[in-house]
Amino acid sequence: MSELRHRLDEIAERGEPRGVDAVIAASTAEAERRIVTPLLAPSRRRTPALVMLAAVVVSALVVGVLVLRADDGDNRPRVNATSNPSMTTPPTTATTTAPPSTIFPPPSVDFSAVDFDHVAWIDGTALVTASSSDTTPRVVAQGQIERPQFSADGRWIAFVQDGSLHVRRAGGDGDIDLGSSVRPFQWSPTGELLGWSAGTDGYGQLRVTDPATNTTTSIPGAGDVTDFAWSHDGRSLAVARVVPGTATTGFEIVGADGSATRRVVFTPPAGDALGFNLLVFAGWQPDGAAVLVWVDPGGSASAMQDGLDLWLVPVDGSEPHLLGKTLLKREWLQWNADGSRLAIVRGTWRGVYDGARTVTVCRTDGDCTPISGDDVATMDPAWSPDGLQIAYVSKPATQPMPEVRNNKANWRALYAARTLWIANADGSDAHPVDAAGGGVASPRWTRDGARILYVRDDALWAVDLAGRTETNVLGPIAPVPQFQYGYRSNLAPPDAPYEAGSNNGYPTWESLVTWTP
Amino acid sequence: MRGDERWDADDVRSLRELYPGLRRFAAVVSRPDLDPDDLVQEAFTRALVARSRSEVPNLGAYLRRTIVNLAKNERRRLARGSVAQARLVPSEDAVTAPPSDLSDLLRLDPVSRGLLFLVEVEGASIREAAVAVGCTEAAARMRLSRARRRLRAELEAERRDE
Repeated sequence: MSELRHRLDEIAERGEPRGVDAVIAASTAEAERRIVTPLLAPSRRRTPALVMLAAVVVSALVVGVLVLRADDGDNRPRVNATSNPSMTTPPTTATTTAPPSTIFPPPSVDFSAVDFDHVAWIDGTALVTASSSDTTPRVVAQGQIERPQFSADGRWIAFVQDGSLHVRRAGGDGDIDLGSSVRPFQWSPTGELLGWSAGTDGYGQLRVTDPATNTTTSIPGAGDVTDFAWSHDGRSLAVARVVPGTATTGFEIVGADGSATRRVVFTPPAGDALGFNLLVFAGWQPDGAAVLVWVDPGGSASAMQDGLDLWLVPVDGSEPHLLGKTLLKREWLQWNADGSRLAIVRGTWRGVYDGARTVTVCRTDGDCTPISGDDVATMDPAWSPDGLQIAYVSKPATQPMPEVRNNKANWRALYAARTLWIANADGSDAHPVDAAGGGVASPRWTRDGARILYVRDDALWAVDLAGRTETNVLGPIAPVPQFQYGYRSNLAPPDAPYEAGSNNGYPTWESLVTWTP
Repeated sequence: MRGDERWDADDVRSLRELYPGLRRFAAVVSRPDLDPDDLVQEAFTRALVARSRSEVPNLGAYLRRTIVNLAKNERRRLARGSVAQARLVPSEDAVTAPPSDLSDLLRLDPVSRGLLFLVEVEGASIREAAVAVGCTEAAARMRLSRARRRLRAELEAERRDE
């Protein structure tokens, strides 16, 4: 059986080993998360007995309402319901319940240094909101809360609660339960339409819900919707589908009402013998002329964790532009105000300590210029409102492995080296914003360009660029994941709550906090 | 049990020493579209979370069993057709799209592949291999016998075709 041994040996050597250091570091970090999280969560706060009693009463009322409404079940959007382009489904089941009162002293919110009216964040098992007109934080939902997102007009908030997609008014009242098995969802950049995909056994269909009228429209099409993206004008959606047994040949552009479907041919080199590439959308060019698409050859989850080729694909069928390899973190793609330039973060490899990261500015013709050299890693780009400057986070290009002691990897020490910088769009005049300190992530400019919001120590801060003073806007909140690093059980790509960006190793603040535009 | 009572630096070092062999093992038993490092990493994680080192006298076997179970779970998941890639292809065999001379091996279930690898390549005894993949010695003998018989037939068929 020497031939058998030879073949087994050939299989055993397949692939490029990631290396023992990386695997050990990721394992210990993930093990720490699994050990710590269940211990912390239940004991973070004590619930007063009266609140428990109130919760029981409210729960009983809700159950009663649901029982009484059982006959209305047909009105609820059905997973895998047959699509009909001309048919708008009847109003979805909506339950208006009084938001639970605040059950703990939540972190205060300082609206004086920001320009948004509503903010929502996940705090433990609660979804908490506050507004400039009512600064008292309110718990609006409890359970396993994920991915809160305000609508573009700030009137609504969508979030996943215990695996089911919900929509409420920004203040927390009203509730539309869109059902479980929800995969990607995204508000229209204009107005208040929510696009979402759901399915069982992985077969997804695309729907658009208008919470104001409580109606849901199914977007027809063959195959399984794996991802979609709204155009900036809110009129169209790019839709990626997988049809069993067929090669990937492009994606669709469809109207928000399901009409006027057209196909964009896009056939990058195939990932496997069958010609299968999983397409993941990174957004649209602001003028609607092109769509940003990540290509996952063969639909490999591992490849996705380490970065994919990002393409700018014109919808008129002209030649696509390869912008480079980036991690799948949509927050790392930022268009400037006039839509002429796109800041991306070129990079590969999921590791937080030595993965290559370079903020790179690309034009719509595919010409790209890095703004930093190889001596540093730069990430988290954010354009100034006038489009002349970029704020970003910088750290040493390579860092030592985190110290592991008693099964605890000291990731925080790595984050401390991340500092806030501002440079011109071509990378010139780069200078640090010292007032922000170390451990910075996720910078965003205020609309007047006077301040930059950023995350540090699990809290949201604002630094005044004139006075160089900082204000604690929100938090710290808890529990912020200590890290989101490593193997994530091969979740289907658009389903992954933290995208592949989770594997950059630091808290994915964007998945925990949202504010109105 | 507190986290810091579970594993110390020496224990983590033992994982380090096991990595090369485990990666090869994972490459053999897992689906060809999966990164073997992902399975090893998940096995390490589960070991670190679930057990204190002192409770795992045979760490290598424990980790191999975990890898086999992970590979079996992935295989079941694939069979349910719960991911797009799985749905894309008409049959399980087509998923692998392997080089043709490896397809016979890849059609075997993860346990049988693991047994063959441990016995034929690593030189383990059937008893050791059985412990490593989590089956009885008798079951291992039966699986090995069937796998060899099947492969022998397929190899002969290949030769006839050539």
